[in-house]
Amino acid sequence: MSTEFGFEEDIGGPEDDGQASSDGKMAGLPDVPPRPPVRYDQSWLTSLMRPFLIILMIACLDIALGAVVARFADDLPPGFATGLVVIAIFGAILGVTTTSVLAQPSQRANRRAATRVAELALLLAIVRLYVWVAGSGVPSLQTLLETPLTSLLDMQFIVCAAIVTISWLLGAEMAGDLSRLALTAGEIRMFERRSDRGADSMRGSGIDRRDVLDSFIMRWVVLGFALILVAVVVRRDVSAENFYGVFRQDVEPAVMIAIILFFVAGLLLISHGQLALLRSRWTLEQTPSDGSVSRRWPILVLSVIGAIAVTAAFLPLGGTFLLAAVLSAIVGGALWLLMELQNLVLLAFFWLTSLFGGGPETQPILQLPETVTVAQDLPRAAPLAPVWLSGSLFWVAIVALVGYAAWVYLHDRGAGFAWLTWLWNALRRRADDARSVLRRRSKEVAAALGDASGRGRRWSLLEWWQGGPKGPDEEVRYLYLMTLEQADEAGIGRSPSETPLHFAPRLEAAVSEEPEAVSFAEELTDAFVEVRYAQRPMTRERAAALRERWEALRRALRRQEED
Amino acid sequence: MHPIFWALLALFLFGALMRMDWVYYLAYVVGGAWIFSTWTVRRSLGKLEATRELLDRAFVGQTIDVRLRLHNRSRIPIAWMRIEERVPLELKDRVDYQMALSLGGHESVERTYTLACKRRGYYAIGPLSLRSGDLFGFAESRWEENVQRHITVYPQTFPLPALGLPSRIPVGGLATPQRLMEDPARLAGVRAYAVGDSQRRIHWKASAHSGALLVKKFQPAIGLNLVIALNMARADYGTRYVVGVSEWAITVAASIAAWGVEQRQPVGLLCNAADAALGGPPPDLPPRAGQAQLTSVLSHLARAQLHSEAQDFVSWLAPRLSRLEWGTTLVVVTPVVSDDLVWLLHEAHRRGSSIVMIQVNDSIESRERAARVERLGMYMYVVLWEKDLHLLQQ
Repeated sequence: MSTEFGFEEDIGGPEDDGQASSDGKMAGLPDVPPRPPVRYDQSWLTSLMRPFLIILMIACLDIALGAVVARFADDLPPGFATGLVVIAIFGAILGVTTTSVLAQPSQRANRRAATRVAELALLLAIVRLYVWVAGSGVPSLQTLLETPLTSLLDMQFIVCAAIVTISWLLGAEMAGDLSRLALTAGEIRMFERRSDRGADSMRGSGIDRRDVLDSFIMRWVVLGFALILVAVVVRRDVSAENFYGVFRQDVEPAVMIAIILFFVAGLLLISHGQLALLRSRWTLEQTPSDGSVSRRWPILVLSVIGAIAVTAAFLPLGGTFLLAAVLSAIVGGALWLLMELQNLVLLAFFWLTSLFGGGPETQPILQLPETVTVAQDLPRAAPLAPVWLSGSLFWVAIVALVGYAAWVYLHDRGAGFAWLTWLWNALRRRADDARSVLRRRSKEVAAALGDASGRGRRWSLLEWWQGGPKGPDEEVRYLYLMTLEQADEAGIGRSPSETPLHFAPRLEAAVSEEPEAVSFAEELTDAFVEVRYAQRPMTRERAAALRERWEALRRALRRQEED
Repeated sequence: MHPIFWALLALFLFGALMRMDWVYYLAYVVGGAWIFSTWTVRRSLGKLEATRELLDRAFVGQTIDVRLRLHNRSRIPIAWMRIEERVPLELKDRVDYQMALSLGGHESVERTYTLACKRRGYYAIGPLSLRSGDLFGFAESRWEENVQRHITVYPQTFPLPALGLPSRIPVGGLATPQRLMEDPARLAGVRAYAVGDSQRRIHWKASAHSGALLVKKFQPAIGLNLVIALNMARADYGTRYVVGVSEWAITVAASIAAWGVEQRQPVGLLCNAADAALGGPPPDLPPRAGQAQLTSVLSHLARAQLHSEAQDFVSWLAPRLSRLEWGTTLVVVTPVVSDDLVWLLHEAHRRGSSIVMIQVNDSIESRERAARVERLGMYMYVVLWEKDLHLLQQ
């Protein structure tokens, strides 16, 4: 008898973590009885009618709001409101479907606020692009960079974003509320064990479904009244006083039909919710059903509402002018009475206070002279950075946020980023290769400068490139290192077994054509030996002198290389 | 008042104030749904016929099928209806007897459920309660049946193929070893002629065949006017195993009554129990033969309950014994055999009744008392279990 509920097994529940052995048993542990399947109310969670009706209701609301936009935003091009309505409906579809999908038990890991925020962010990005393309036009690059905030948040976008956000929020809220009417796994389990006298007979439920349904009804009523107010706003004339006056009210037929559809769809959803409420009540009371209730329910609802709707179409609608006048008179009279009562009370109060006579004279309040402010054009401080820089950073941040939102949204949808991952890995490999080459070269240079015992400071070229020589000693080492680099490129590189003093004659021989270079090579080698091995500090003047004369040696080695 | 009513009122006023006639259409639709729901729910259960078909008698161990038929006399369907049947615990074979279903216009449905007769007694089935509502949750209604059906579950009986109950009625249909008088209708063979035998007893055909004089032998028989006196006074059952002992007493009495009727003997019942149907002691059943009498006896025993305010059994039984016919066999089923009871029954024995006492509860002085009773010409048995019933088969 419970088959009508359509209970299905958990498709996303906690699975084995893969540690079981090949025979399916955990090594070293006794046999564990298989976990009974967890059943969920799939017939309710996967129903299509409920999301469809919710989207229909919100679409009606969007049509009415679109009519308001079209009515009062005369500067917008024709068709803009229609596109806005389409996007709003798309937002509602997004909100409803995402909420309905996340209500599935297998999606419990994806119920994150980040997903919903990312979804809304993408939607607002679409709205922004639409408003630029179809509305105010895409601003120039200069405007985007110089006034990014104003470009992003203009009044058209704010209004359209508000409408789309409301649609999305309403869709998510209403879908979420009605999803809560589904039976929980615990309630299903209790119902299935109703014949087991040893089963737990507690019949509590953590969800007040009556309250959920009542809140939905209240929302339906409030939104309905809001729609009627919108219709009042968009109409152009007062109704005439006869039966056919409805056709002369100059209310857009689309708005009128939307409001009627809104109420009818709401009634259908209320009925749907009532069925869910009964199902849950019977489950908690452990009352089986033979399926006839669920089978007949939609037919009966459509028949009743259809019959009432058709009958209502033939009932009189006109002639409310006199009634309206009477009601207005009643309301006006009540307000007048309230005002007169208030005046009487105030009069009595002042009369009573006057009976007590004058009080002590109060000092007049000192009146301070008006401060006169003189607007002065203060000289503007010179900008620290170009104006376009802040705008660029702003848009980079916006694009990064939207991109991250898209990634979060698509990732949670199961979209694959294999190509992106491949690209990222390729870039990382290139960077790693470059870094390893750099590290290897710096180690080679450091090794060339170090002695056999391993004493002395070993540094890398990268350290030099990062900050340059940091003192006279470092500068001497730097100059000698660069000399070795140049000599290596000239084909007379120092071998690892050669000490600087052994290498010096070869170096001098290579640059023998320039006596200045020869003497400098000897002097540089001596200075390096002092700094590197004798640990004798170098003076700044001597280091500066060496730096100045180093260029000659470098030129000589360059000529050697070219030869 | 449902919140929808206030919403309708607000809708109506809003349409009137804003002078938007088409808003009335919304009020008609929503209000129509509300009015339709409220109106149909209030009358739906009044147009429903509920009938219950079941056997009102059964034996312990049997199952009874109860057919519940629901007929909607209205054209308007009932969207949902929850049915709940109240069933005594002793008859339940499931946790609850409830169901939710829908009923179309002029539609009838039948639902069958079973009752398991696990214990003898007189039980009330129902009342049937119904709960219904509309499609939108605007209104609900309830209805409860104002009559109950009763089921009588007869006590269990054990087969007693041959009971050696004494009787002083010389003629009857029961064969007996007591050779008080031979029944000329029951030929039991032939024997050789002995001096003194009446000529009317000579079997001429057999004599002609055999060539010697043979006389007829007749089987002795008795008539058994059986009256069962069952003691159901609560005070006599003590404090231990009250329910078990009293049920056993009823079972023994029912088994003896069934045996008597099966032997086509008149059976009567005297019982000081409280009748579940009448509220007080049941009327005495004079001995009668036939299945109808057995039905009456079993019905009395099914409804018998321990009587907390019963008169002392001896005092209650005394005037009834004086009305017994001569030769009646009185079987007294009681948990305790007191001296007063023994003397009372001895007087009845002296007046011509055959007395058999069946004690269904053990006591220390049972054997001594049984010996004393036998010396007085009566019979006493202690029957605690089914296997003890063979004591009666002598």
